[in-house]
Amino acid sequence: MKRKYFALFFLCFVGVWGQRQKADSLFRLANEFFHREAYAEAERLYAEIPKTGYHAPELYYNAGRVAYRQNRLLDAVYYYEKALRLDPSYKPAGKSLDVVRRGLQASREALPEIFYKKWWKKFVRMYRSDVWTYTSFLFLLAALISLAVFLHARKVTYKKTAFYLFPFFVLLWLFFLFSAYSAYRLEHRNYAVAMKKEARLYDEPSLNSGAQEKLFPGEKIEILREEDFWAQIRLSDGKIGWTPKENYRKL
Amino acid sequence: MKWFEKYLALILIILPQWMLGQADFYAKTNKTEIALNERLRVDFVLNRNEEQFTPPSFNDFYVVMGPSVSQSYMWVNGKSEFKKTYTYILQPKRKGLLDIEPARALIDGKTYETEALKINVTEEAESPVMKGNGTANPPPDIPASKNIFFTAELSRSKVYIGEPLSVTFKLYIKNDVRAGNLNFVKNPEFEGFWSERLNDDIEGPAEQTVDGVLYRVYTVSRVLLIPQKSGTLKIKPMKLELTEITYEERVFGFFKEWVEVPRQVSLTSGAKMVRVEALPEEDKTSDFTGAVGNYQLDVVLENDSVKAGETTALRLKISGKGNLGMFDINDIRLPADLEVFEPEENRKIKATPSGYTGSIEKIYTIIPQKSGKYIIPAVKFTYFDPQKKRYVTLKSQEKILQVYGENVSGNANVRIQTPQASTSMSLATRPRWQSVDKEDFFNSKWFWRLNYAALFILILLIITKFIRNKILQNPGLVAQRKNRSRINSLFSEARSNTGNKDRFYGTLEKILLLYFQNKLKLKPVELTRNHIERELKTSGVSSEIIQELSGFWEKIQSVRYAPVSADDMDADLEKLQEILKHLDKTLKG
Repeated sequence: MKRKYFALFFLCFVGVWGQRQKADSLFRLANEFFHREAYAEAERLYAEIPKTGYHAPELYYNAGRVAYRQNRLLDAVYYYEKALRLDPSYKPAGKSLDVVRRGLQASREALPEIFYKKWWKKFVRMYRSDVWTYTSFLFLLAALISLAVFLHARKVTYKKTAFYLFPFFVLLWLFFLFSAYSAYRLEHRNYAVAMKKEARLYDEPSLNSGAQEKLFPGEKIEILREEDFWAQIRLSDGKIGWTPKENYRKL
Repeated sequence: MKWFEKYLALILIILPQWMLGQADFYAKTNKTEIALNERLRVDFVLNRNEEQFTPPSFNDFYVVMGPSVSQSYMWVNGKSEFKKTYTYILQPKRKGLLDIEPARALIDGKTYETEALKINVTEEAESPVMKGNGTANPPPDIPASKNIFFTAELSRSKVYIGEPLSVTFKLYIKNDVRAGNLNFVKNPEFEGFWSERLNDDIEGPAEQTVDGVLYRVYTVSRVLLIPQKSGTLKIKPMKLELTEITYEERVFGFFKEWVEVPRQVSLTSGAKMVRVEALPEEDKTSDFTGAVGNYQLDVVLENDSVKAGETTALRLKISGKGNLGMFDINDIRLPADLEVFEPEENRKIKATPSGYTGSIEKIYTIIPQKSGKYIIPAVKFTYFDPQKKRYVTLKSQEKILQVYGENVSGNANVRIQTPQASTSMSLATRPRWQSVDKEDFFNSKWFWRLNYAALFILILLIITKFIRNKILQNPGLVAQRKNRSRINSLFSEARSNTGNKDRFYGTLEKILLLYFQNKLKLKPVELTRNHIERELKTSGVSSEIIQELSGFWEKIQSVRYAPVSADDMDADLEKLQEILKHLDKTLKG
């Protein structure tokens, strides 16, 4: 019986490990194809990798390079954005995206954000929400320990230190918890890239309603609500409207 | 975190509902009958801030201007009055009875509608109707006046893809004419170009004579353009409106006077065509990445002789003029044995009317691990020179890096950091894999479990503190606890002394005395066998136990002179424990 479980456990382990190994080898193979300028083949392999259950910012970055080499700028934008979604501070993708965007004329003046909001966003984006959450628990634990020391210690010096440390830890705990919450909210926003040339922003989910705004191809948009054929979206300048779902590809 | 949002939403919703009254939303126009070439003003007025405003589609009208939004807030006799107005200026498309459909606004979750308006559009009026103050009400595109004109000037009209050009929008105003109220109606569109505006404000005036007439010339906007695709590209015009003020001689009775005559004019710069040629395919080398212009290449090795483990840097600098910053720079293929970090990029680029000028520098930090001679290969950089109409390839000199000193131990960690022979296209090679359907820790099952656990611990801490406080407040209880622990330690002492009967029975006696001293609250003088037995009787202990106790007492006295086995001692110890347990039940406190 024990043996059976062990075998099962071992199989699971090998299964997971094997998938990762597979992703790695596919990735290396695809890079090799890229260097030989077999772009279509490289792209097919890159697309294959997420099916193993693993992906990486570097994967989407390379896929973006392939698309860029083949002069499919919109796809390149899509992949670079995807890489940045996994790691917002991933520099190569950020730089490449800049270069492509310049060629696409997809510039819209972003809604100027209030400075503290901008700073907060930048700060929170430095780490994933998981990191913030773990840190908050660390301080929660520290707060509990200092409370325990304060309540139950015999020595007055311990009690005193704990008394001052406790509110400090509680504040830090709340701070990191809030950071985790903000990061979580930011990570769970739905973004997409406009992929059609003649896409427009409508006032209502109907082609007959007013359409004043044009969507730039390659533009990053936020999806607020999705219906059968239409989606409510927000542009980077803060304008809200509707567009058919076929006009964008979700990140 | 749903609860958090819910509470916030609740507070936000309740407040304004309770503070404000009924919402009101209506539309009004300045006229209900207009001529085809006249303009109409439509206002949509709200007395409450809306969540969403949907204007009508204006199918039968051109929207000349708008929406412009104005808000006012007033306190009248202690009552607040809020007004928000969306204004559109419309021009009819055709004659007849035209509809302006209702506008919709979402206020506090409810949709409000204005009523539809009917506008009667009549035959085109002969000339714009003059108003009382003399301002004309012109149709949208009245021909530009001869006093003022607006042009777009291209620096060149035939370019290659990536070759910079600039367009300058200039406003010419005749020297004896004044202009004011400048208003940009439409910004120019540069489809197919990368564009960057070069000036922030209107520049000028400069004086210039055109056909013998002196004009003041203002540069409204200067834009650097870099074409991104081939073909004939159209620059859509810029439109602006302004008030032109001329002076006319009028005769009033005997006097002649110069009178200001203002006139609203609309100006357009006119569309411009640019012919963009594709770069020639022949001679195009594989290392060409899209650089167009005129460039120089500098490759500098900071130190060509270093000790193993020390750093040096390789600087690859491309400077010049053209579409700088809009192309990739190929990475250098460095020997695999050198540890090289991701290159750092240093951009110093300025936009000028003739293109981007400046430099881009890539700095590679190198830490050689092993001594020896390393060849840093020649760097090639290809650009297209639009003047010479051909590709130019720059090539740097091969460089030799001399590394001396002891090898730095090639430990595994260092090796991993070494990029595998830098490829020319700088693909990422070390993926940081993560699971596709990775669940966030925040708001997960375990997140909440840990939170509840923390809460539980908190309550536990407080309760234990509470109980401890209760105990500490009662001195008798404290003393009793102290005695109990002393007796317990004496018991264990006795247990370890079962070999030495004198010490063993001495300890048992100590236990008994201590026990009664505490239980019966006796003074040390009263600690005699008789006194204790008397006290026990009065406190209602059964005579059996008292008898047993006195038997035990006697044994302790006599045992010093008789042989006792270790088994006996164990039995006695248990017996004493038994007796004390019985006593505990009857003697409380």
